[in-house]
Amino acid sequence: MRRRFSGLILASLWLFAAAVHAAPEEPSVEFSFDRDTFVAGEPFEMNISVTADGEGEPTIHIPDTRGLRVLQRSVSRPSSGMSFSFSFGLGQGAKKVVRNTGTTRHQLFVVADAPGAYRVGPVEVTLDGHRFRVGTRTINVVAAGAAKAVSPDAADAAASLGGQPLVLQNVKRDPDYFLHMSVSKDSVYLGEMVVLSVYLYTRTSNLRIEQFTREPGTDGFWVERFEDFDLRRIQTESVVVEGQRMDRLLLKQMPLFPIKTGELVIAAPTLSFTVGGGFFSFGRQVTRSAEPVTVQVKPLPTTGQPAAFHPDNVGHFRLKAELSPNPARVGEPVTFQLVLEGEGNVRKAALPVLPTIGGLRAYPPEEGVTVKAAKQRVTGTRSHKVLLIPEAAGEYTIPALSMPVFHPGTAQYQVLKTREFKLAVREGASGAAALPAPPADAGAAATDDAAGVASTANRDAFSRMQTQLRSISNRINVDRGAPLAVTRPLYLGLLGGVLLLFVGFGVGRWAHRRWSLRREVNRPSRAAPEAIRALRQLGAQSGALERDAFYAALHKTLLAYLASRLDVTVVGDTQTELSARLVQHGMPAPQVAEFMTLLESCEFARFARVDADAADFRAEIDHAISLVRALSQGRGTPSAAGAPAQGGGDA
Amino acid sequence: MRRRNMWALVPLVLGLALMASPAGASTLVQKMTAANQLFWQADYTGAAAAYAELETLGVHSYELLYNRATAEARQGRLGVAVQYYEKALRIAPGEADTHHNLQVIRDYIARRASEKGRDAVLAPSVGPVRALLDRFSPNGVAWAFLFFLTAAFGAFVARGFVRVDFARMVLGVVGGVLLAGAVFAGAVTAGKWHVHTQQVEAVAIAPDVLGVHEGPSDTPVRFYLEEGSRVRVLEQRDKWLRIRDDQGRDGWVPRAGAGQI
Repeated sequence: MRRRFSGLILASLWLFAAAVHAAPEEPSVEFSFDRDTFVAGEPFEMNISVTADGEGEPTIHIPDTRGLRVLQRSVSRPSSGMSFSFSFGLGQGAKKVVRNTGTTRHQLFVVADAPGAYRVGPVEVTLDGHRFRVGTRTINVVAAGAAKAVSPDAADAAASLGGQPLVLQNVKRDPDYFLHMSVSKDSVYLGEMVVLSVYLYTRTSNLRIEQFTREPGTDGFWVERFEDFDLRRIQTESVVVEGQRMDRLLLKQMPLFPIKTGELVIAAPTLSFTVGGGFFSFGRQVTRSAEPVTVQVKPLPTTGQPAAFHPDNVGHFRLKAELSPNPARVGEPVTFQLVLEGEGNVRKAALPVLPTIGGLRAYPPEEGVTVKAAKQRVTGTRSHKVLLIPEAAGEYTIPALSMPVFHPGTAQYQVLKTREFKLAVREGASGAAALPAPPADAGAAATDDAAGVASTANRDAFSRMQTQLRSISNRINVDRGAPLAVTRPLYLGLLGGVLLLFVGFGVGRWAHRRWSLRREVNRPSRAAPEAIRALRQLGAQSGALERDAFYAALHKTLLAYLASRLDVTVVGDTQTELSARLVQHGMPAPQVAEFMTLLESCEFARFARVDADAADFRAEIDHAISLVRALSQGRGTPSAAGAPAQGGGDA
Repeated sequence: MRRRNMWALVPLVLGLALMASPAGASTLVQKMTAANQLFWQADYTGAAAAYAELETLGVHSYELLYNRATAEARQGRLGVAVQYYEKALRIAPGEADTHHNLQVIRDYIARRASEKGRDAVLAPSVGPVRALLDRFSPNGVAWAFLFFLTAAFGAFVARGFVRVDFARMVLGVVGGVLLAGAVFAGAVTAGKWHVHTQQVEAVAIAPDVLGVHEGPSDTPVRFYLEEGSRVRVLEQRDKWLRIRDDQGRDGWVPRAGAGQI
């Protein structure tokens, strides 16, 4: 009955295994798209999901479709599929069946070059040696012009955002994210401001901007920086680009001032960012570059250009001058201040120079510049302060200074002027010659700016040098430690600690070795006390020991004593040899013989059925202790002659 | 249980210590942030003064020195800029921005000097040992020395406790390599310390040129140093420094005209 039942179970298992191991089912294929209407020339996303159930991994082949170009392709393998294994049979004949169920997703970015109907598929799936051709889909692609008529999606999206769909030029488009660089004007005058903006267009909100791996190339431009632009607070807006709703992130915005004419190319920036990612994944690293931008820089018009015009003076400026105190006394410092303010590159503007005035000793000027760059405008003030020391009483004339400038808004030149000052100087009292004489090079310095930049040519060179300088670091580090780590207490403490550990470890090892050595050397002299202590311990425990165990322990203790006393290994020696060794070490022969007898009696008692009680054990212990004491009276060193063995028989 | 409670107090005490200590640090952070903002507002004079104040408060970071140098360069004080870039390089020799800005300024000064018919040797040539030392950050190599030393120690200690021959051999080799690293890092650290403490250098910070006098007083000028020139300081006396330039010429300059690195 039991055998029949077992047979039924086995047959059922075989049937189940056969069913499981049968040909795999036909995989299922699903198509999905990111839109309903397909426009020629416009990339779209096509997802093909293949769900398969079999022993092995399916091999999926999506045949090419004529007229459809695949721009990008990615495959995600099943991550949440089911897998189970089942073994049946016995021993080497056991068969193992593995089943894998999962969905493989192919993501393709595709573009159709021309309108028409395109048939995608069938998808070829090879699974467990079987080949399937499943799933087809037909896509109707319309012409670009007809798209809006067919699908109001883009127009609706644009309307909902309150603007026209953006038409971007000079862009390397990508369906998901692309970088676009633009300038506020593509044709400007020399020295006129251009605002450069770099945007990232994306359809994914889950991304993390890291850094520009290559900054926009600004050769030929003087670069300023907008203070109110902060990459940590990226401005995002929704826009419609060629029918697609996208987010636009403003990543960089800076004012540029061309410093040379002609076609200036702003080299393309490159940005790295991470898409996706979260607590359990790092996301995908993506790098995108924008297209370079060309700015046409026109030379300043020569018609109507004043003779004293300096090409750096481009902008909408005002010029004013102040003189104080007025009147003054001889020797009293008088400040003449020239202030240029307005919109434009004030930092680079060339101010008029105060000519040398007889009777007024001039000191090198002190420059001050304040630039405000915000809300897409660059404004500022540049001051030029000259200290004048009247050397004699009288009336001095500070002439009116003029500064021709070019206004790019009106494309006109204008001449800014200060008023003329009359400085009244009275005979001085105190304070005369309070200041030291100007430096020997004061003649040159008086015409210089604070940088010691003498001529216009030098000023240009200085400006070029300034544009090449890299800016300050934004890292805040207020480390107040000593400049050298080796002089810091923390470092010295750690170093000292490591060295102390090193030395301590070495000393410890040395001491341990020395102690071990000494212990070895003193082994014979410690033999008797240690043996007596061990014997007493054995005596204390003897009540709880069986006869065999007691005599075995006693025998072992006595042999250990001999080994320590003689400082040799005694295991394997016969009793005759042991006796000879003991006598040779100067032990008294009678006690040696008695000791050997005791050892022999231990051996005998272990293996012979001898009756013994606790009193016998104590007597044996006392006897052994007395013998050890007696033996310890011996010299303990080998005799020179080597006495012959006496007493004791063979073990 | 009591012991566990005591261990739990450790992070609390450390946390309180950390909360207590940065009171001054946060002020310094605010000051440095304000200084950076002044720079961004193109108030380079104010920014340089703010950085200088931080320096007097004991801040000695690479960022401070680099930012001050850049602020000085922006306002045209090129000698001081070179001095602070050199100081920054002593802390972090590998910083590309510092090398770049220093080179830009030196090129400008050299061109300016050339236009005026002068030769300018702004950075004296250095020997191979000094060139090697200049490649390393003093603090980086000091910590590397400590790390190698500790790791070598650990390897040798572990070797003492291991009984497997192969493991002992591996630990011995690793310990030897680490010890060699420690010896190298230690030698470089000692060299850097020597350079910092024994080889005092200075940069001419006077605008345009700095006269080098025959003696520590208003004696005749022997030769001129271009602004931004780096020289060795041989002796310091009151308001004068005795210096030697790359060509082996020496003389005295007023202390105010040369900024020590």
